[in-house]
Amino acid sequence: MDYNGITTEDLSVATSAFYLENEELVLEEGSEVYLRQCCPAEAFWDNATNEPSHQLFMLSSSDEGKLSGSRESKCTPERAYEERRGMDPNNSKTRGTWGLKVAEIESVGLRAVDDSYYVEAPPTGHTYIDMRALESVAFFEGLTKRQRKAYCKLLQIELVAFASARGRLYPNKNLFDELSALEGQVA
Amino acid sequence: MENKDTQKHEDPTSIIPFKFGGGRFDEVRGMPAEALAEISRYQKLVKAVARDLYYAQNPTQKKLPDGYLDKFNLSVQNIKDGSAAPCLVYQSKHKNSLLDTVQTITDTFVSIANTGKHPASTELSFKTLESFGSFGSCMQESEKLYFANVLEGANEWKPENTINREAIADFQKLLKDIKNSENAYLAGYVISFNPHKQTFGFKELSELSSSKVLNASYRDPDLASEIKNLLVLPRHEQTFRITRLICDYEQDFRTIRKITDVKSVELFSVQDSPWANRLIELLKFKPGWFNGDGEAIPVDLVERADEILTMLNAGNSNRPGIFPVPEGGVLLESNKRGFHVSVEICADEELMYGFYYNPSTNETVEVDLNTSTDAAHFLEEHLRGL
Repeated sequence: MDYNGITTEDLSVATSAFYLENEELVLEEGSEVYLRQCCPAEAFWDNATNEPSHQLFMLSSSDEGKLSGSRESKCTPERAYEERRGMDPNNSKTRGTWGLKVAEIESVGLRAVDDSYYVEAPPTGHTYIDMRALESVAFFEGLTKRQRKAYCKLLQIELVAFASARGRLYPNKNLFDELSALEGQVA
Repeated sequence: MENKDTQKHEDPTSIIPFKFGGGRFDEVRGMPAEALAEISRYQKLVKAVARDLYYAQNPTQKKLPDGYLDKFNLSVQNIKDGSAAPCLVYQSKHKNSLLDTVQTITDTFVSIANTGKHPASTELSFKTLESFGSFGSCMQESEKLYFANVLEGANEWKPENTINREAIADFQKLLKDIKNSENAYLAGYVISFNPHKQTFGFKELSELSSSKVLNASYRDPDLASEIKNLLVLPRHEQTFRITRLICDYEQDFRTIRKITDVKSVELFSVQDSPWANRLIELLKFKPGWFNGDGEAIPVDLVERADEILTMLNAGNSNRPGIFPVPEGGVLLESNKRGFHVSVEICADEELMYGFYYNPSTNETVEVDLNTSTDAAHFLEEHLRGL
C-alpha cells in the first residue's frame, strides 16, 4: 500500500526500528493467526451489515501503539472470546474473535509481537500488532494531520478486509445470534 | 527613585508590562506578597498568547517548534517601588516576538476595559481568552491594573490602559455565557414534571442503565402542556417514544450537569426510521467508551446520519454500517472485498469527510462534503462500484 510517498517498505523499516524487550518474540510463522476481539461490541459491529468496521484495528491512546490480541498457537479463538467476556462486566461484550495471518500483518508493513512473558492479564498468549511507528512524528514528516489519519485508515481498511474475508473465527453464526439475543443487542 | 508615572528601564532586555495601583499598592513598598502569584499568571498568559500568535502566523503548522515557548520565559529583576511594577527580564534575541506578545495582552485588556469585550479581530483562542479572566484576581475594590504600550518604548501609564477587577469579572461572565449559549440536542425521556416550578427530570439515552437524571428548568410556560404529554414513568422507559430537547445547559468536563432552559420539546423523529435501533445505540455511548477515549455522540450528528441514509434510500439491509467515531462523530461505512467507501460526519467542525479506496488500482478519493445531499450522492456513486 502506497500513500503520499509512504511505501509498505517504509513502514516495515520504521516498525523494525522500534525496541523490543528481551523476552518479546516477533511471530515468524506466516500462517499463524493473530486473534482480535471485536469490542466495544456495539462500537465496531453493526448487525445490519454483519461486518466489523475498519475501526476494529484502530489504536486508542492507552494502547501506546500496541494493538492487543492473542496468538492462535497459545489461545484458541473460543478461549480468547470467553476470556474477553469474563473481564470487567461493563466492558466485556464482544462481537466475536477475528483473525489475521502473520503474513497478512507483514504484508502491510507491520509485525505481530508476543509479549505474554510480560503481560499476565488476559488474553492468554498476549500478542500485539506493533503500530508504534504510526504514532511517531518522524515517520509522518511532511504529512498533514489529515493525511496521517487517512494513511492509518487505509491500513485499517486493509486489515479488516483480511479479517472479514476469513470470517468470524468464534462463535459461529448460530451461536453468535443466540448470544447476541441474550445480550439484547440484535437490532 | 523612578518617576511613578513613567516607565524607564535602562536594561534593553527588561520590560515593565504592567503595574498595580491604588489601595494596598500605594501603601506598601515593593509588591504585597499576596499579589506575587500575579507574576506567575502573567507568565502563563504570555505563553498562551505566544502559542496562539504562532499558529495564527503559521496556519499550516500543527505543532509548535521544539522549545518554542522557552523563548518567552521571563524572570523578575526587581519590583519598582510604589506601585508594584515588576521589571521582567527576557532574552534580547527574541525581543520582537516577546514584545508583540506583550502588546497583544495589553491590547486585549484595554479592549475589555473599554468595550467589555475582547478585540473583534483577535487571533486568540477561546481557551486563552478565558485565562485573561484569572489575571488580576488578587485585586480589591479601588485597585487597578495598568498596562504598558511596550511597542511605543518608554511611555506614560495612560488612564485608558487601566482595568479593575469588576471589568475582568464581567468579561469572565461574558465568556461563560458564550460557552453556555450553544444549543444542545438531547434524546431521552421526561420522567418527572413540576409545572409550578417549571422544572422536570430528564433521563438521557446514555444513562438508561444508571440512576442519573438531569434536572431541567424552562422559562417558557407554554411548554408545560408539551412536557406533560411526553412524561414517561421510569418503569415504562424504553417502551415509550423518545423525546428530543433543544436546550441550554451547564457542563462539567464532558458531562452535562443540568439543563438551564428549554427551547423545544418534541418527539425524536429518528425512531421512525428502519435503522432507528442502530442510531439509538449510538446515543448510548458514554464519554470514555473506547478504552478511556471516545466522546459521546451528539444527537444532531445522529439526525444528520438519518437524513443521509434516508436520501440514500438503500433500506436497512443494504445500507452502509453505522458506527460511532471516537472523536464523537458518526461513520457510515461499507467494505466489500477490500473496497471501502465511507462518510464521516465529524464532531468538531461543520464538515463531512468522504473516503473511497479501490484496492485493485490503489486509488483513493478523499473529499469534503458540505451537505447531506452531497454525502448521499458520494455514498451512492461509490457503493455502486463495490
